Amino acid sequence: MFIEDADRAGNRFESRHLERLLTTLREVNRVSFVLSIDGTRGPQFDYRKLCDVIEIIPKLDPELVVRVLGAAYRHWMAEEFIDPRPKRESPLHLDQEPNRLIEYYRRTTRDSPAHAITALLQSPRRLKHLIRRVDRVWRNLVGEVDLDDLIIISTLRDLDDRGVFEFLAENIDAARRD
Amino acid sequence: MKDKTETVAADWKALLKKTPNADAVQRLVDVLGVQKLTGRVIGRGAEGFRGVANDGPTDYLRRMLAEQLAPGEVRDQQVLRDIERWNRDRGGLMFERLFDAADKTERYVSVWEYFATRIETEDLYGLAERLFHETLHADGASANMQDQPALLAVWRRLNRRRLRRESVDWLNEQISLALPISLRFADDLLYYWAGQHGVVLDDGWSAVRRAMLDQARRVYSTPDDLLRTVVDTDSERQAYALLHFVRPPARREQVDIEPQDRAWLAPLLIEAAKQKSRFVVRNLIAMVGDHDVWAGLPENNPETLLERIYRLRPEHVEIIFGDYKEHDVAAVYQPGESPA
Repeated sequence: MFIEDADRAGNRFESRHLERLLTTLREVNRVSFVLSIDGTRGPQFDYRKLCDVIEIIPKLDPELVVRVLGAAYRHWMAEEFIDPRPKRESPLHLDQEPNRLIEYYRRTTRDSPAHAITALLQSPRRLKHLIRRVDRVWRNLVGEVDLDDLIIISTLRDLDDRGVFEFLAENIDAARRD
Repeated sequence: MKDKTETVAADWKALLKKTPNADAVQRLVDVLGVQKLTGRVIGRGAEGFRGVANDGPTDYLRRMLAEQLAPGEVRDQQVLRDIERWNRDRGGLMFERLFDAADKTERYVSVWEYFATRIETEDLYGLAERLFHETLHADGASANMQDQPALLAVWRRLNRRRLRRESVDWLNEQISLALPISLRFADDLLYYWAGQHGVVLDDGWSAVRRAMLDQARRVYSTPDDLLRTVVDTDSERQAYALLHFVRPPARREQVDIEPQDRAWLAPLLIEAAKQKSRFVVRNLIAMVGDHDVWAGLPENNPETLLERIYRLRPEHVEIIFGDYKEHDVAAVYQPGESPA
C-alpha cells in the first residue's frame, strides 16, 4: 500500500484514524505500506514509530537540477523544429552534457541559473511539477516559444509568493519598453 | 499620474525587497532580459530571439501563459519553414503568402519581417524585385507601395542592412521598369528607397532623382504615354502622382527641374491638362504653389487674423514652366473661375 504526499492533506486533516489504521496493518501478514511524507509539514504522524525503514530523500541541489532538467531539456530540443536562436545555446546552460569542470565552476561560484532554480523550487516534487508543466506547454507550442524562457516563467509561476509572477504578467509591456 | 514605463523599474525593486529568495528571482529575470527589470545584461542576440522580453509582433509571454496560439496568430514554424525553403530553391509558399497579404495588420507579413534576418541581403533585393514586378503587373497604373505591406516589410528589412553604393544603379533600374506602368509606383520607389530611410548611401537620392527625370523624358514622349500611367481618382494616394513626380515630397522646397527637363516637361504637362484636365490641373495647382499656408488676408495688412490659404509660388512657376508659364495659366484657368 502506498500513501503518497501525506503532508499535503494540510494541518486540519484528522490523521489519527489513518495512523491507527497503519499501526494495525503492521500486524497483518503479507501487507506492507510505504508512507511518503514531509516530516516538517502536514499531519503530525510519528512516522519514526510507524515505519521500520526510513529513507530520507536528499534535498534538491543544483547538480541534481541540472542533471534532471538538462535531460528533459535535451529531449525537448530533440523535437523536429527550426530553432531561430542566433546563438543556439541555452542561457540556463541546460544543453550541456555533464562536464566536471563546469560542475566545479558552478559549485564554486554558486551563482548559476541552476542555483536560482534550486533555491526557488526547493523540493524534488516541485521540480517534477515544473517538468510536467513545461512538457505540457512545449507539446502544444514546440518551436513557437523560447524553451529557456518557458522554464523560467514556469518556475516563477509556481512560487508560493504570487507577487513576482503577477507583477510580470501585469507589467510586461511597460517593462519591455526603452 | 506617472506612466507605468517610468515607474516599473522602481516598483520591481520594491517588490523584490519583500520577496523571499529575491536574488534567485532576479537571477532568472536577468536571463529573460526584460529591459527594465534586468540587473545585468546577458547577451542572447536580438534578432530571431523569441523570448518574454521580445516586443516584436508576437507577445511570447502571453503565448506561454495561454499555452496556445491566439486566434489569428501565425505559427513561427510555418514562416521559418517558408523562409528556409525559399532560401534553398525559391520554392514554397513564402512569396505568394507575402504578395497576397493586402492588409497592414496581416500577421504573416509581420512575423516574416521579424524572421527576415535569416535571408541574405542579396536575396532580399531579389525578393523586392519580384514583388515590384508582380505588383506592377497586377495593379498597373494604380500600383503603389503603401497598399503592399510585404514591400514595406522588405524595404524596412533592407534599410537596416549595410547601405550599398551599387543600390543607386539597382534603384535606377527599378524606377525605369516602373515608369512606363505606374508613375505613382515610381514616385514611391524614389520616396521610400532613396529617401531618408532608403537603401542608398549619402546623396544617392540626387543621383536616383536625376536618372528618374532623364528616364521619364525618354518614356513620356506624348501626353498619352504619361496619362496611361496615372489614375484619376480622389484617393490621396493616387491623386497627386504628377505633383510628387515634379516636386518629390522628400525635397518639396527645392524644385530640381533643370532647363533640359523643362523643355520637355512643361509642354507635356500643358498638353496633358487638355486631355485630363481635372486630374492634371489639380496637380499643376499644387505644383506651383502651396496649400494650407497660414497667412493674413489681405497679406499686406498685419492686423488681420491668420487664415489657411493657397499661396502661389512664382519661383516654382518659373522653374517648372519658364517661357511656357502663360500656357500653364491658360491650362489652369477654368471659365467662371479665377486663375489659381
